Amino acid sequence: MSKAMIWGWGDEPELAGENAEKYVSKRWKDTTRECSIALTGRITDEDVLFSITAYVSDKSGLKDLVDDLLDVGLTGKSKIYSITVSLYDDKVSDEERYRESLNIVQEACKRREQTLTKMFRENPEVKALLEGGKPLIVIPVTTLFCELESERVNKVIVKAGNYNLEDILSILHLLINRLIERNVAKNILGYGLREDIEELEIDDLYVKEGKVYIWLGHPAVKH
Amino acid sequence: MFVKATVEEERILFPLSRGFMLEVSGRGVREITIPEKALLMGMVAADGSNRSRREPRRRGGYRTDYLTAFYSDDLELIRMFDESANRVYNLASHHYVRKRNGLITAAIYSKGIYYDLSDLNLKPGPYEFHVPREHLDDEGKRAFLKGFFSGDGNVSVSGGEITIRFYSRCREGLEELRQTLMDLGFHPRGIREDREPKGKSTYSFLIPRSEHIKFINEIGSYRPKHVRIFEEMKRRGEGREE
Repeated sequence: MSKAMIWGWGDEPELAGENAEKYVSKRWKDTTRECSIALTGRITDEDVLFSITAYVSDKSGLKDLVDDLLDVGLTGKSKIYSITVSLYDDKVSDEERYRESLNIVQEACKRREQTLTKMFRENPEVKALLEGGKPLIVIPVTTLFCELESERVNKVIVKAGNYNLEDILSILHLLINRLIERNVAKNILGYGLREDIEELEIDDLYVKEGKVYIWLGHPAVKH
Repeated sequence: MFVKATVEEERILFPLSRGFMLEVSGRGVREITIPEKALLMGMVAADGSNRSRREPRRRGGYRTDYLTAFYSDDLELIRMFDESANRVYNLASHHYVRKRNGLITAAIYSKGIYYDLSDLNLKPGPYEFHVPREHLDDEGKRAFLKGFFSGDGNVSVSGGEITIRFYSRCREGLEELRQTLMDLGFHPRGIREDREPKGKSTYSFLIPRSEHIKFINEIGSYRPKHVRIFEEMKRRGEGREE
């Protein structure tokens, strides 16, 4: 596999497609089966981190595709951190499958919150604050995926994550609509929830108005 | 000859050119930046670039272009960048607006500014940043953090609760921001990674709720949305330990 970041915030937006085309034309081999273009960014008002990954088996039309993806991500209230191109000798898009209905995923989010509440109630640091029967409010980071069918590419995956399910869904659908408008994707195949209960850690813990609040985040990075 | 020196209890400051001051104290002598320059550096570290490009000329030889730029969709932040650049370097930026999404580029084409910021190692590599803490006094550190936070910081509300968070894809730079906050008596949480196997991960850390008011009073933000939430939080007395 070969992978390179071909564009980052601060580069001219017009260069994104051109850079991708140059990189792929140099690195695409006879053995290459698929290429992914992954754009990562953040919607600043809602504070939602997102990524859009498109998979293609053909290097023609790559410049226009990357330019369209950048236009989808640049919503007017967003920052695009990077665009990365990866080349694979296998068809890797088959690995990513998110085919649940939205209702099922929303239910799974509720169950996840209940499980986390039960788990962290037993945490010694939390337990000490809960004395006197205070209620516990758990606010976990949540990441949702959406798999999209496309006539132009093999598959598109959109990811969105933060601490508020309503915001996540609103941004996810904003990006999906923009992808459909620009003819990058055709329709939704399904949704998925990142399974990360075991790895979440306490990011902040406090008592406010008689309630104990706990923010759960991704694991801290080790030095 | 120094036109004017400022004498403080523990140090004497002599103004130098390009937004520097010479600080003489019991700890020694060093060049520090004025707050406006620290603010400008924080903004460039978060959302800007400082680069040179060498291109061949049609008639032979090469031409080098120097660019220091700040990118934002927020007019207030563009105005702050312009004011700081004008105060520090006495130069105005050119503005370009991307019609499709309103992204504004404030660009300054100056070899002098490019080398000035490069000497401070502000952007050690593409898509990286460094906090030049050795050239920042406490006021400079606060200004740098305010500049950075206005660009790549976030104040968000979830279920009535508020988080204050710094973001970057540059983990090393983010760690230096944490250290800078710790120099000022804050206790930022550890850096967390939003994994992105096919792309580049994004890193973030948060300011604990017990230090929200300290953050608002000492650092703050120029982004209008942040300012609105901060004012509301102060009004409600949010962010104090119970």
